[in-house]
This record gives sequence, C-alpha cells and structure tokens, in this order.
Amino acid sequence: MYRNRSNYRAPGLLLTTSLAVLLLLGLATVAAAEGSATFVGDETCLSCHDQQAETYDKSLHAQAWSSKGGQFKQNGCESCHGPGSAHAESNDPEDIRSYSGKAMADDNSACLSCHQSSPELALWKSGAHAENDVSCASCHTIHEDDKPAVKEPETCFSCHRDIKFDSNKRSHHPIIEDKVSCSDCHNPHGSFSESQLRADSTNELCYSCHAEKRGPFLWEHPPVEENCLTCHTSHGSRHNNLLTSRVPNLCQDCHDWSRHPGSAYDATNNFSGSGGNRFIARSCLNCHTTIHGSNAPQNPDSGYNGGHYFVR
Amino acid sequence: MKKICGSMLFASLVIPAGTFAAISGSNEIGLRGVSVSGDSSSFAEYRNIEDGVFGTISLSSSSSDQYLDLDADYSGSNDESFSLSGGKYGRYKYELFYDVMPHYYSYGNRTIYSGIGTDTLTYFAVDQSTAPASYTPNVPTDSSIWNTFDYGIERTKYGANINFNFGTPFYVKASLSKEERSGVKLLAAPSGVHGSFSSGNFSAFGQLVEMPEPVDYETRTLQLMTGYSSPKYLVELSGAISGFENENNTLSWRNPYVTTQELNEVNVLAPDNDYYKLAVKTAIRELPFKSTLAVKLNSAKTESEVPLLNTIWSSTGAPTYTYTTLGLNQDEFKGDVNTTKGAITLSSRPTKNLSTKFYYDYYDKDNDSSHIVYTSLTSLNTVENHLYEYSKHSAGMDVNYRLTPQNKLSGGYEYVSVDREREDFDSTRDHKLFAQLKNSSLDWATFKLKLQYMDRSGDFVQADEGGDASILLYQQRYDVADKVQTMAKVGVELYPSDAIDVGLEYSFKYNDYDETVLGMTEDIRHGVYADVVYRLRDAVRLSGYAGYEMVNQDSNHRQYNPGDDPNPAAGTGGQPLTGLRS
Repeated sequence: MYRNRSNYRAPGLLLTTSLAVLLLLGLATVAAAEGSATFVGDETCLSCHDQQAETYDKSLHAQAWSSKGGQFKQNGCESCHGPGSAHAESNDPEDIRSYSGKAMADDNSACLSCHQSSPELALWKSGAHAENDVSCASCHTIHEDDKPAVKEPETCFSCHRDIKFDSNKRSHHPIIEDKVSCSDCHNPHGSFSESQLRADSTNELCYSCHAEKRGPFLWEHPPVEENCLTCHTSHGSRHNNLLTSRVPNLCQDCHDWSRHPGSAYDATNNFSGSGGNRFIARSCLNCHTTIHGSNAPQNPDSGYNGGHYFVR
Repeated sequence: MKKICGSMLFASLVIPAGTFAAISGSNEIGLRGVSVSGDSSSFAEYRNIEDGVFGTISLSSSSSDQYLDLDADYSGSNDESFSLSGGKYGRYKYELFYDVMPHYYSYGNRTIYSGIGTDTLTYFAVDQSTAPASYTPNVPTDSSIWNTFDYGIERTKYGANINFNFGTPFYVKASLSKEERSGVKLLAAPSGVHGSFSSGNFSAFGQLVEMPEPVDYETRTLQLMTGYSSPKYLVELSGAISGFENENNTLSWRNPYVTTQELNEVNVLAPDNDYYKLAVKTAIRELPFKSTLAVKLNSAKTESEVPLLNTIWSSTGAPTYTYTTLGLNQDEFKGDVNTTKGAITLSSRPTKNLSTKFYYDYYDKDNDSSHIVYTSLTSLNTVENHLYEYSKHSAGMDVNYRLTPQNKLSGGYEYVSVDREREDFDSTRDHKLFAQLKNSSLDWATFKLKLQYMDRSGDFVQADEGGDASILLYQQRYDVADKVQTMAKVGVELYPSDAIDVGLEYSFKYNDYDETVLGMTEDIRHGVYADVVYRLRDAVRLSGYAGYEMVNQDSNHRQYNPGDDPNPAAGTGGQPLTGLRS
C-alpha cells in the first residue's frame, strides 16, 4: 500500500527534536550539577560513607595526599570524585563522579591525572585492558587499607574465567597456591608483546624461571626453540607437565616413520608386547628424555644412545 | 621465626627511630592435622601440607611520608615466604623478599641405585653366593631391599628491589635475585646397548631405566633500569644479566641390563649458561588526536660452553661391550644465540567514541653456535647439528568504536610472517581478523561476543631424502602447517543484585589443517564456564565455579615396513592411511 511519506515527516521531526532537547537538558543538568557544585570536604563525605571512613585514613592515597599537600590534601575525596555539594544535598549518585558502571574514560582520567607519568602505564592505552573498558577501579581497591595492590589471582579470575578453570586442572603452574602470580608473567597495564607478556617472546619469559631449558644446545628440537607453547600450555592442563595433549599423541602429530614412531599408538596393542612401553610411564619420553635439547654425543652409525635423538 | 626477627632488625637499623606511628596488623596462628589417603604428593604438590603449627604475620606502619610493611606466610615450613617493603612516598621504595616453594612429584619411590641426588648412580652388589659367577655384580631383583626416596624439588628465591625517583621525573630501578633449586626429578633412558640377564640379545626397546636425576641449580639475575618519565615523555634504558649454573653437568648410571661387565652410561644434563640483555624504550604521549607513540629496541645474547664427549658405548657387542671413539671437528660446543626485537605502537583517540591502535613488531633469533660434526672412524659416516633460527614480522591494527554509550564495536587485522631455518616449512604467513561486540544496555547484565578468523599458509620445502625418509614429503607438522582457524567466544555477566554476580561463557575453537596429508588434520574445542559470587554484607564471600571442555583431534598416520614405499597412497608393502583417532 502506498504511503505518503510526507505524513511521517512531522511526527518524526517532533520526536527527533524532543530527544535532542531531552539529551541537551540531561547534559546540561549534569554539567550544571558538576559546574555549580562546590567542595564540601571529607567530613561531609565520610559522615554518610562510614564504611569508607573506617579504612580511608589508612589508605595510601590518604597518606600520599597528606604528604603531597596542595590541592590533593585540601580536596581529599573530592580530588577523585569531584565537588560534592550537589550530591550531599540530593543523595543522588548521578550528582557525583563515581567509578562503577561508567565509561572507562571517565573512570580513569582521575587516576591518570596523577599516574600517567608512571613508566608502568606507558603502554596502557594500547593494551587489551584499556581496549576492553577495564577501569583502574575494576582491579585496584582505593579505599581499603594501605594496599591498593590487586589481589591476584582472584581479581583476574573474575573476568578470565577460562584461565581460572585451567589453573585448577591437575597439572598447573602454582597460581592458586600464590607462588606464581598473574603479574609475574603478564603486565596488566600493557606491553609490546602478545598477551601482554613481560618478555619479548614466550620462550624468554619461560627461561626466566626455567633457565635450565635456555641452552643453547648442540642438538635442538625446532618447535622447542621457537615456542614453548607448541607443546605446553601455560596455565593448566589435564595432561602431565602442562602438555597440550597426551604423549604419544602429541609427538605423533609431528613424527611419522616406518614402524616406530609410525605405528598408530592406540589401546589395541600398546600396553603389552614389543610396543608395551608406548603408553606406560612417560611413553615416548621414556627414551627420548632430553626432549628440550641435548649436548650428548651421537654415533653416526647408531641411534640408540645418542643426543641427536634426545636419548641421552 | 629467625627470618622474621632478622627482617625487623634490619628495618630498625635502616629506619630512623620515631619515624613511624603505631604498628598495626594481624597475626594468625593455627594448628593443622592432616590425613590423606592415596597419592599424597598430588594433594600437596606445591604446599607443605603436614601436621603442625602454621601462621601468618602482617604488620604495617606508616607516617605522613613513609611506610613499612612486613608480611610472612607459613613461617618455619618449606613453603614460607617473607616480604619486607617500604619507602617514602614520591621518593623511593624498596622490597626484600624470600620465598620457598616445594614441588612434590611422588613419594616412596624405589630404586636399585645408591648415590641418589649425586651425579653417579650405582647399584649395590647382592649376595654373590646365589648368583652365577659370570654375573657379578648382579642386579637385585627383590624390590623390598631397594632404596626409597621422594621425587621432588625445592625452590628458594630471594632478593631485593629498589626504586628511586626522589620526586623528579628521573628514576632508577635495580633488582637482584637468586633462585636455588635442589632435589631430584625423574629421568628415564633406554639401555642403549643390547643386553640381557642371560645370553642372547634383546632389543633396547624393552630395556628402560628410570632413575633420579640430581637437581642442583642456581640462577642469579641482576636488572638495572634508568629513565625519565613525565606526563608527555618516557625514555628508559634497561639491562639484565642472568647466570645459570648446574652443579651436575653429567649423570653417570650403571646399566642394569648389562651384567657381564660394569657398563656406566652417561647422560649429559642442562648446561651452564649466561644471558645478557640491553633495551631502550621510549614513549611520547599527548600527541594530536590523543595519541601515544611508543618504540622499543632491544638486543639479547645467550651463551654456553660445553666440553663435548667423543666416546660412546657401542650399541652391539654382547657379551662384551666397548667404547667407540668418535671423530669431532672441535672438542667444545660454544652456544651463542642472539635475539633482536624492535616494536612500534601508535594508539590514538581521534574522537570521543573512536580509538585506534597501529603496531609493528620485529623479532629475530640468530644462532651463531658451533657447527659440530661427529664422524664414525670406521664407516666415515657423519652426523652434524642443525642450528635453528628464525625471524618474525607482525603488523596490525585495532579499531574500537562506541556505537552508543551501551554498545561498543571492536575489530582488527594482524599479519604475521615467519621465516625459519627448518627443513619442512621455511616460512609461514598468517592473516588474522577479529570482531567483537560488547553490550551493556541493561543495568543488570553485560554481553560480549567475539569472533576471530585466521588463515595460515606456508612454503613447504621438504626435500626427498630417499628411503624411509621419503615419508617426510607427506608430513605436515601442525605448528607450521597450513590451517584455517575459527574462534568464537560468547560471554554474559549478570548482576541481579548488589550481592550476587554471575558469569557465563562459551568458547569455540576450530583448527582445520586443510593441506595436511600426514599429521594432525583437525582440532575442535568447546568450553563452557560458569561462576557465581555471593557477598553477604562484605563480611562473607562465597564463590563457586564450574566448567566443561570437550576436545576432539583427528590425525592421519602411515605405518609401513622399512623398505616399502612411504607414499600414503601405496597399496602394497604396507598399510595405507591408518590410525585415525579422536
């Protein structure tokens, strides 16, 4: 059915105009609230927010502002939350700058006004957390005690739940035991490397703890030399030694030959007979034990006991 | 307790008297009784789970311009940790730390060997009156008289960090640490020679030896950093030196499958090495369009020196085995690996709703280690080492656009090119695309959807080496093989009330190795994760999580007899494609 489009212009224009007016009024209200609000002092804030009052004086920010003086010492809570007179009068959270449910840029500008010059934050804006609207207050507790440091790994697990699942698998780095923290390997504030690693490559990061794997070795295993994650997963695995899949399956995904290792290792004949060691104990690694590299000699006429095949 | 007192004594010496106000903190002490049935090493693994007293101490003190914290966990046990940190706001801060971590593998293992934890393993002789005269000494077959030990390693790490800036944009950081690892871990090796408990030869495949490898490592690391950091500029110069030492460079073990002579095999253990790194980093902030430009350049070197063994047991010769002397082009292997990295990133915010990132990254690993050639002095056959090296270029862009205050759309593209010194694939190229939508229209929920697609292609340059080695023409190894990867992730965060948070996530990943003939052909992964947090007036916090993962891998393999045609399509002299498994 033909409709005269001109009949819809007037209501549409009215609706658009109304929305624009409302939007402008809303913005004006906020601006007016902040623009006309004045500082009221910490005592006014803490008279209602008694929970924060209990820990505020112990916080590092309170200590730092006390020593820094000037605007920070004078304005206290309002150094971050903005002038509070409108909020004190209305009790409306919209009349004060808060740090929950807001756009990240608003959340972080107050923090960055002091901390932007920190070398740790040089790459914040290009990092994955900034791109995903993670605010400073998402991880750091500002009001609690004197330790705004992030509680790892619980804070990280609140978003990275697949990593939480991995960290609780039977083979895992001691993350949940608090012996390795997320920030030991990753820089949450951004880095030049993939996954915000604190090293130039995955292998360099692994070698910082596992220096015995650094080599250099006479006989090298190429996937080992390029990327530890070719065979291992870093947070946790169902398989031994953080391997991505079970040996011999993992090895056979790359190695084939006549007979050994070409024989398909499955349950039909690999728990007994001449192939009886294929699934027992460490499988391929029973013999090929120096799989990360070896400096042992190699007889060109025999492969049973040399370093070239990672047997010694 | 000694360490706590020592820390406090140190603090009292360096901190002027009367600097701090009253000390506050907490002291927890408890008693623990443990009863574990089953494999208790798995239950403990990284912790000291034993009967006894345990506790934590946390002390803090601060003044108007200084602070001092002492934290100690589980003092007196072998998973204890201490940290003494302090500083002056805006001037300097420091930390002393000490941490012990056990890693238990298994308890109550048995071995015929004595000398556990040393570089020489030998087994004790049995009553020779019961053994044939030709077999001296014989291997004790009664395991009840074997030696018992635990597989496990204890790691101790201690050191100090200090950071000065004295209220200026200039800063200096120094970090010194030492890590010690001691214990035994599992080492397995085949016999290497043909031997048996009676006459005749057995294949070495059935003759394995498991033994305790000694672990006595020390890693020392020094890092220095200095720079200038202001709201607009950052320039930083840093360096690091790390040395690794292994007290045991070889492990000698008596071969129990050879009873006609004392045959001591040798495994070569991890070599000592040194690592050096120098880096320069700079960032310029507050550029037009709220941009930040960051650049990093660094160079690193890893070195080792290993005297090479030139003798090896002959693999045949029963009942008497001899050492074979090998020809060597040089008697020492000098490891020398150099890495270079350069990276540049430009992140901008041209408008309030738009942010972008452009980046380029270059990484090069150059292997200048010794080229070693072993020569058989009888057949003149040779075997030589291959020095692996590679270079990697990555370039990409990310774009984030806020459609509405509650909807954010992100997308990006990355190109990765790797050139390698490798016989199968000497180069690969990845094209990666991603898109993500985040919605927070509802006050009580946030939704996120991410899709990612990657296409990898490579240059397969494997040469036909003839004979059994021809199978390599049909083998594509999954770490470099052509593949198409599809990933999807869907997540929802629910906040039905101030006291409850619920998170749900589903992830999917599919790797299709579409050009692979032999090797992994498919890898499909599904994961579903859920967690819930309940807070009761901030005094009680209950949380729970659950997850389910399913992994399905398919691969092709070829089993054939030596001398047959390795071509997977061959119908004679062997089996065709077989071994498909999930």
